[in-house]
Amino acid sequence: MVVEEGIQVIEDKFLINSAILVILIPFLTGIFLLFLRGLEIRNKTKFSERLTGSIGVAGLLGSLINATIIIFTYFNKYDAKTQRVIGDTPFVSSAHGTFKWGISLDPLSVIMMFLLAFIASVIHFYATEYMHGDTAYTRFFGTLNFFTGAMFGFVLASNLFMAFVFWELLGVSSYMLIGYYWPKASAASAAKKAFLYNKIGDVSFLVGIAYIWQITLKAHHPTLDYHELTNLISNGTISINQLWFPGLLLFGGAIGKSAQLPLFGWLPEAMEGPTPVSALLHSSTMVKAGLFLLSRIYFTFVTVGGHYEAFIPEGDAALTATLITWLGVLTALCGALIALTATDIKKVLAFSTISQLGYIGMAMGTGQIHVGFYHLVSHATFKSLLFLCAGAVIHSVHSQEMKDMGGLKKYMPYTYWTMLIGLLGLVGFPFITNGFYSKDALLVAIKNSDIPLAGLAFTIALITAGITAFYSSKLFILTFLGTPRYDKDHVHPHKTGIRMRIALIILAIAVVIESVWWAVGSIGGLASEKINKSFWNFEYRLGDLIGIHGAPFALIDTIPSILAVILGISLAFGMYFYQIPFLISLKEGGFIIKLENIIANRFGFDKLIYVLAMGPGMWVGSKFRRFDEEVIDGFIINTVIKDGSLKLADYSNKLDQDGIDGVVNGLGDITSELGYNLRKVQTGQTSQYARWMMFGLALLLSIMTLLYFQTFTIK
Amino acid sequence: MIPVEWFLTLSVVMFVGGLFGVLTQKNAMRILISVEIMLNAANLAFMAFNGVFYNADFPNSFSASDFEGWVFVFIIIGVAAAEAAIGLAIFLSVYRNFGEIQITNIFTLKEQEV
Repeated sequence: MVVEEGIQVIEDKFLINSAILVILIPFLTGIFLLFLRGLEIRNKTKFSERLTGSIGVAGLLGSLINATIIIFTYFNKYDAKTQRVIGDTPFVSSAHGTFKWGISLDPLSVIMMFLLAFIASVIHFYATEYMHGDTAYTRFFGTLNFFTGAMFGFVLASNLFMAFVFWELLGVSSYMLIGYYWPKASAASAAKKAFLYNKIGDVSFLVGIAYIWQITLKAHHPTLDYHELTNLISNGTISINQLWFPGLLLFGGAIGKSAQLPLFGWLPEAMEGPTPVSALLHSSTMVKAGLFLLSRIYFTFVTVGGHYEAFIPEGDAALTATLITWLGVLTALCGALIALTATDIKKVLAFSTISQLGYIGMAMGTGQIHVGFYHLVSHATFKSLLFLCAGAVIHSVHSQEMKDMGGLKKYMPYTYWTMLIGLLGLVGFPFITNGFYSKDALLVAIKNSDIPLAGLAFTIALITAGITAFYSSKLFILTFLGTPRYDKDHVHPHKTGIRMRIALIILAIAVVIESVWWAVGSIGGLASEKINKSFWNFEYRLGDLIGIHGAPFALIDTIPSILAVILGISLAFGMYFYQIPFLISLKEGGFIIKLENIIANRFGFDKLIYVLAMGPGMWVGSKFRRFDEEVIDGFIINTVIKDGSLKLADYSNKLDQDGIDGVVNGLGDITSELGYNLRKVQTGQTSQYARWMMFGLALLLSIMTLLYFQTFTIK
Repeated sequence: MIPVEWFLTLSVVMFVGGLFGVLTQKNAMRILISVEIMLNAANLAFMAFNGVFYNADFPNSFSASDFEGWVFVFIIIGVAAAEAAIGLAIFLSVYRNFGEIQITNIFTLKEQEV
């Protein structure tokens, strides 16, 4: 049970400050650019694209430099296995405990941060050309930087509270990015859909956090820190039997963000955003946030054994892990099947993302966090490359439908080659691609896991791998090979622009490097134990660092997946490239078409959610509305507030007029009356005045005389 | 020696006569003359009392207290002179403006009917 024993918390001001810069630079440049956009709108001008684009890219490059410094310093200076660099400050204090605000540098967050910084920088660079001529260029970069900054914050957060804050920032900035072309109704509704679907998960996430807080509070160690929670579990203060339910709630958040079944409907719609946004969203930010969260809170659903073997707990606690795994498996299958029927190049990639996310979720559910993370890294790299390639194609033919493409190899050689590299990764082409090794690790993980019906799950995952190969090949053939089908009079495919080309090549090189790395680690690991234990074997090394070990790479395990992939590829080539009549007749069979319809409707999940939202949701809404109209508007507003305040106003009016005005006016009237009457005394007759004077003087004298007699004579 | 009561009686007669003149006369000049008579009645009373309280024990030596009444008389004569001068000036001015000095006919400072 003891995993985190001997973990040491290090305070390193330099690394923490660098990490703060990683978050702050994109954040602040984003806000600054949005401020510039405000100026643009007010002054009805446009800053030069060179300026705003440079600020946008510079923000990310700043992050990348800091991230590079951090990743090298952390792994060189410290023993990543036992040492964590954590910088916390209290954020909200109460009598019961403190919500902290801090940064945690551990293997997962550091690797994720570097990956994100790298991919996001390339995508930003690509976007400077892709978005050329857009009226809201500044807004695009502002939001994109803000979005990336939010993801950095989420990745580096040391506790669930801070993670939640950045999680929400991610949600809102993704809303802005998906709805970037908001004048288009479909974009606006896609943004709304993404936001609402995510919101369901967010509520679950928040409740989960509150639940964990309550549990730790009862155990007299109130904390939301990942690190401290792990400690509490390893020293037995709280047990997994208490944590599996909050774990499930947190997974609810991941379902929304990572587009797992049944809340995957928003991800394909999110294609309404510009392509660089899709690339960022699908590779390393938004959808990976949910899975990254799972890898952070794995202690809530799996137990990690003393000999570094993650296993699913017994009893009720197994529910969460089982649910995560099986939802992952089903998501993988559904995503792949829907990708088969999609005709839009970006939608194919979107559903393939859903499918791959299912894969990763599946591996995380079995407790093989490092395997999930392994595939996450591969997927982030090749999926961002694929989206950027798709963007280049769309930029070139001005259509997203694959039926408008074909034969583009001649016009776009760079895109052709880079896309080939990316697709080979996605397919998991045997032995030469990164996708192959990470997917193999996933399949092994699911095969060896102890979830219920692991064999079935393994079979489904294998079938999914075949389908993935099929639709990827189909995408490739329909786009680049064969005869051109676009409107030749209007569309003239051109070479990809220089900056876009550079971005594609950088990412393709990254995929190749990863492929070589994974291959050396896995194949070389078979030959020499030294390589197997070194950093070359990424999977093993990562598992070692976070304290989990899975089954080692073995050639025999790869055979089913190789067969599935080859079958998928050959079927696709037979059907779409060589157009073998038998296979085409298969495709056009009545049953298949019916099935296609079901699949194209996304198995009715969207409809189900729609019905759920429209039925009970609208019913509850209508009740609330009636309550609002009758009770709040009718009684409280009309009767109590309106009539009551009118009456009150009436009374105070009366008081004012009769009371206060009366006193004031009365005083004035008296004075005026007195003055009016007194002036008649002034007759203007001097002798009269003299008479009065004499009379007054006489009176005064007599009084004084009387007083004189009283005081002196009588005494 | 004439008793002091006689002086006082004469003073009262003068004062009341002056007062009567002030209250009844309509010509401003007459009123001024009546005022002068009243002032001189007061002078007479001062002088009478100065004589009464004169220190008779030392007829050949004078002290300051022996002339107290005289001081008042001189001041009153000065005031009367100044008053007469101002009064005459005012009457002159009034005469120029109104063509007469009958005070019953001069009441422009009175509040007019509204």
